Amino acid sequence: MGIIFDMRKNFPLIVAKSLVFSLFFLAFYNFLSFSQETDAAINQSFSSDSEVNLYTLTDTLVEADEFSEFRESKNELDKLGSFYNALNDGGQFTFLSIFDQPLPVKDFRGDETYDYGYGTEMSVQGKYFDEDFGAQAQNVKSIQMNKNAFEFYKIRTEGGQEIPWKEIDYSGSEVPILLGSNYANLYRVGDVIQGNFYFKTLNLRVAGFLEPGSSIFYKNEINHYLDSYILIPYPDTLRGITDEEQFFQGILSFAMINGDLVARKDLSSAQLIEDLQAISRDTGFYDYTLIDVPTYLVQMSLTKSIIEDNYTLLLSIILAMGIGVICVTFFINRGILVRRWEGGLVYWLLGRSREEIMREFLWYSTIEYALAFLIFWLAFVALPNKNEFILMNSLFFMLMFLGAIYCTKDMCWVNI
Amino acid sequence: MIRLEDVDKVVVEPNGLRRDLFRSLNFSLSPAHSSVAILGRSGSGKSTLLKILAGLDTRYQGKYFFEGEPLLKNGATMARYRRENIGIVTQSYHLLSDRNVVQNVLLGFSGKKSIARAKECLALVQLEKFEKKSITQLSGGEAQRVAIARALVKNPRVILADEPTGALDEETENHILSVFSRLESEGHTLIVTTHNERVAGWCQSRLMLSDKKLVPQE
Amino acid sequence: MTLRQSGAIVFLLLLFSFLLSALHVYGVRQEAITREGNKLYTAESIEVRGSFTDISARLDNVQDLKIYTNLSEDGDIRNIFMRDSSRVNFPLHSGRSFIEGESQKALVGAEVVTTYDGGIEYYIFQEKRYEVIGHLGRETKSLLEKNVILNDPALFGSGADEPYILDGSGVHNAFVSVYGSENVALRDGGTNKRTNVDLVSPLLKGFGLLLVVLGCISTGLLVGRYSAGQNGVQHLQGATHRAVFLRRAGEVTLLVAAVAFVIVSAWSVLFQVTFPVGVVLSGFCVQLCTVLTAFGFSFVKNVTGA
Repeated sequence: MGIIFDMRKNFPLIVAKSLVFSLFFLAFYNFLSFSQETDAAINQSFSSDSEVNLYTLTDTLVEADEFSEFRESKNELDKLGSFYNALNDGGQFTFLSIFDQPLPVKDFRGDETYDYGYGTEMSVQGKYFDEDFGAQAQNVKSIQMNKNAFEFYKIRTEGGQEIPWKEIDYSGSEVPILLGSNYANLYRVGDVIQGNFYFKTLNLRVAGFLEPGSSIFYKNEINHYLDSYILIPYPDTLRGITDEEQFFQGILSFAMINGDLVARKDLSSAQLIEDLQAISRDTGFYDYTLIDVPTYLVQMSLTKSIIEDNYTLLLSIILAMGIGVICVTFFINRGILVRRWEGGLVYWLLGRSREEIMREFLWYSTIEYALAFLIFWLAFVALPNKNEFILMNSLFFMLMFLGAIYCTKDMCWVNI
Repeated sequence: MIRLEDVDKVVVEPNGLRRDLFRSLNFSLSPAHSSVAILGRSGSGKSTLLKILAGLDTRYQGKYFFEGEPLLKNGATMARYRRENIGIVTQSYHLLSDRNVVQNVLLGFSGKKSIARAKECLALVQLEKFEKKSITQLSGGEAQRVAIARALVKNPRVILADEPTGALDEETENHILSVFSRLESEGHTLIVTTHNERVAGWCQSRLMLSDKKLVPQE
Repeated sequence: MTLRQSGAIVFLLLLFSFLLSALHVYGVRQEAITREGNKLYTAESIEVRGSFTDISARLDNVQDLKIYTNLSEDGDIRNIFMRDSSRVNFPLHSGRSFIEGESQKALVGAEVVTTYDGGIEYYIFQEKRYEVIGHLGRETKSLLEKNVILNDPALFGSGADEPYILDGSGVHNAFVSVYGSENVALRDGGTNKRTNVDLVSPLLKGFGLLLVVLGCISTGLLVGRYSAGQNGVQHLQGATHRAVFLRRAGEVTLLVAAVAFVIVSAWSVLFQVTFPVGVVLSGFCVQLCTVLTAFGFSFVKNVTGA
């Protein structure tokens, strides 16, 4: 009965207090959510093992004649394959083989935002009739990479699926691929997509979806996101060239040796070149050049500092809000308790003990905090960034915070 | 029925000085007394004595006996004692403005509430038609009578009234005194603090707070 | 009102003025961080193909429209067109941004090669000198250290279709409504995409503002409660309710103004942060209106005894 009268009398103040608390906890929840994402981003892309020197390896067969002559020689292609295999075996460096290109996909289910030209200065081609497929197709964004690159950039799939790197074989019936997170509504795991990969039609089986915001350092850009890309894995080793596949394997081998070398910061470029020369001597392939890419480290540290600056900024605003909340609730509590005091005094005069009155007042306070929790929960349900782990953390903080107020401040006030 | 023995009470004045309010004060109320007036100058401790008698103030030296049994001077014991035996009427009424008349009267019950009894008490103070009225709409005399009805609902042995007619005109005062007479006739014992000679004269016996003690007055 | 009560009111006003100003500073810094991590673009930027003259003329409903064109292959050197230069919020560690009506100026990063002539810094592009008026990046070392932003209308092509990057509030919808969705692409995020800051930050700002409003309402109600006695006395002594209210409202206005002055000065002295006049005035108005409304409510309630 008393609770109903109290609610009626102090309704605006109770609602204000509950609103203030719930708003603060919603802000706190969001801060925790951001904090967790910051940690994940830093651990994924900016951890200490990402602080390495990066060099780009490119072939020097720039003349068209030279290039086609090389590709026509099985012997030269075998040398190139051995060179790739040796690079992948590594020495004091890790070879990240990455290459992007348009992938014509038969009966593509997506729109123009997946088009190779979308978001670039190139024009968007859209859907067209493809002679090879004999059906409608679209040139979509695609990227190929080897296992080293996949692991170096800590790329992960949403469902935790793994690529069977050892089994990647473009001459087999199917090749497992991963799709960027934007594909989640277009294809399902297990679907087979027909794609034209270096003029060869491949059956690409969807093995999983990349986590949203998966990114790599590519073309001097650290924020190269793969959400709209089809990721085709490169095999660990290049096998001997066969007559039937010489054309395909020739192009593929060149694409595969174009990539980045990652070396510890204490390894000098001279030592790295020495290592590469040793591989060249062993395999007989010399047509490449190595370019230092200092931009990688610079971009990495500056991007990391931007994420950290954001964290500091959010932390300071949440602290300022916390102080504001404590002050507002102090005055609101004071207002509520002054109004409740009138009733408490009457109860006391009429023979209720302090403990009984205190118990009753604590029930009233419980209503306030329950209301705050309810508002928090209703707003939480509407939040797009729901996360149970963060929710548990913020609930724990909420309980600690409210418990501290509940057990000290309110009781002190009631202690008439 | 009620006995205070050797009560010493020290108060701290607003200027920080300590002052003895009571020294070896004794008070005894026998069942033969139907009404007692406690008189005294302003600041002599009338209200404090009433608070002590109600068990609202336990910070004093001395003993409190009820029907021959000493009472423990802790909040819970005194609250139970007050709940079971004492009805209180204060000068400022202490009614809750967010409740109507009958809801205020119902506050007086310590256990099961009875609307019939509340209405009966309102009838006793001649406020039968005021049940649903808001407290803010009452006059001083009406509010005082609601406070008396609230004190009565649990049928207490003793009713303590602090300056019950302090701010009331003569006609309303008469009204209150007639209510007190009915209570007396129904077997309630009244202890009234007042500086009003008329009210004091109405009481069966009078005690004067003087020189930190209670002195009987003819 | 006792001294202690007045102190409480001043404290609350200071606190919520500070929180309001802190939210503004937060917004500005957040935008600077976002822009630095996204090549100076906001999350609303789009890549389009079209005619500069046509786009700038037809997207007249985007008040803060900015059109960029790449002058180098890597996109480090760009030319800009701004509809309203007061709304350009580039992160700068020295100098200033572009102001209304000026052109042939440049903003450059710390690593960009410049020349000096008569103590004035110039950036030379295609043999033409551009006076450097500001340096990009929140600090010398930044993701913008190799960037150049020129302000030269002559560098925009004539009427032919070319690729541009457009930025501004609601620019995507505005562009699509005029030209359709054929030649437009949303840009795929900057550094902010690595975290959910673009989602969390507006929520935090919203919650912060609500907190300020609730705080100001509490302050106004407290003013009403604390001054109720004094108001009653003044009314008994012959002042009308209206006169009493206006007197009290005047005092509150003066107090809020004084608090705003103290807060703005404190930011300036302690953190070298200055606020645009418009921001100070709107913050002051929001706070004053909220406090006065709550006070008025409390005043009326006391007078009518409701």
